[in-house]
Amino acid sequence: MTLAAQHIEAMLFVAGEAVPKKDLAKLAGVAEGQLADILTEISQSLFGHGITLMDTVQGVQLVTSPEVGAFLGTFVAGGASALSRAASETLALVAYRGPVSRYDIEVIRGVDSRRILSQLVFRGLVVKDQTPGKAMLYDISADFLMHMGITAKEQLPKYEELKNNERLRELLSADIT
Amino acid sequence: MAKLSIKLEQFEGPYDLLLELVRQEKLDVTQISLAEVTAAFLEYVRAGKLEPSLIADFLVVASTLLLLKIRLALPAFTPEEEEEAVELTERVRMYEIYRTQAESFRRQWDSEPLLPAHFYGQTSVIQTEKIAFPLFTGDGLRGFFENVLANLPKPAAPMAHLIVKGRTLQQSLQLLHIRLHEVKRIFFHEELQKATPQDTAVSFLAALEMARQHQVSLHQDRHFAAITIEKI
Repeated sequence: MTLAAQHIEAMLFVAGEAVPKKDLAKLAGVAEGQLADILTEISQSLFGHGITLMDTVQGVQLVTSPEVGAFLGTFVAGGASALSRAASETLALVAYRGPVSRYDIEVIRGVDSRRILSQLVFRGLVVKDQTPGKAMLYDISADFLMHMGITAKEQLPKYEELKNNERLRELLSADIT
Repeated sequence: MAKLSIKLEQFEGPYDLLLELVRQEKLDVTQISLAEVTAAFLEYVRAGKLEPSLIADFLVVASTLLLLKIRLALPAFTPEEEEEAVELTERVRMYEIYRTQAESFRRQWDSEPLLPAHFYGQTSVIQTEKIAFPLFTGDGLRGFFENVLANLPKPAAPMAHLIVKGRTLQQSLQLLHIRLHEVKRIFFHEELQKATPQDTAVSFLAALEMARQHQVSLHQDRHFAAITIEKI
């Protein structure tokens, strides 16, 4: 392992939470372009370990690996609560369609979803992405992936199929006119 | 015609209700099956159990359903909103796909989680029983401040909480079923070897549930005596 990779791995261990890539590059004194290679190096060196590297929109984070998930699942997760039907429905849409606008979520669910979305944001399961002049978009968070026991949303069942559903795209674009 | 046995359940929205009604009839989502459950849908809306914030959404769908029904009954009649009626079928199908995924989310949730560092070390918020009553005089404020200082919670020592999950009610029911299959009568306490207090409580619930369903009868001669569970 290169020294830079060791530095970044150590920082991620100490941080214990997601660190934005920009901050990580700055703190470690490497160019942002270089960071991707370093992260791949760390990822590969952790192969077959009880911890793994998770890379999401919120940043990079060390978490326990999916291979030990079943074992950790036998312990009580502190204060975690089950998903309500409204929450799981909305999360399914955000996960498969994200980044997605509230409008699109409501077209598919058929109900006003303002309240449930703000609850999910508050619980840290959904993150907001606001580009000036554009509709607020919602995407799922690193926390959501961790509860589901996966390291990227592409690992969700039928991800490609539901992400690129042709008929759904027609339905959504038809409604905007 | 769908029975209104689902009347008391809260639905997540009009598509949710439609889907449930169509499934009760063991049908796929088609224009025809949607038209068939229109009456049951309207009945549910009329029953007035809806959350006020959802009423408008249900009414929009109700009107589209009526259009759909008219269109199927009178093929010559083509209202302007024909497109909407066709779209409703697509929407309910689409909703069905995501609702199915949502169900699998709930099963997968926290079953095999990934955890960050310090996860089990998070301690709960410290609550103090003592309440300080401020008196707004100089002395009172000083007393209040001293009281606060004296009652400052000690910083929490980091500690790991690894608590083994107990049996679920489902598992306890299963265990009792298996045992009662082997022998007709068992003593409740004999089923609890090495059980944690939580397991004991859950097993007791399971026994009560089985009695409620008339699968077993429970006997106890006097308070705190052994409880027998007998298969009916």
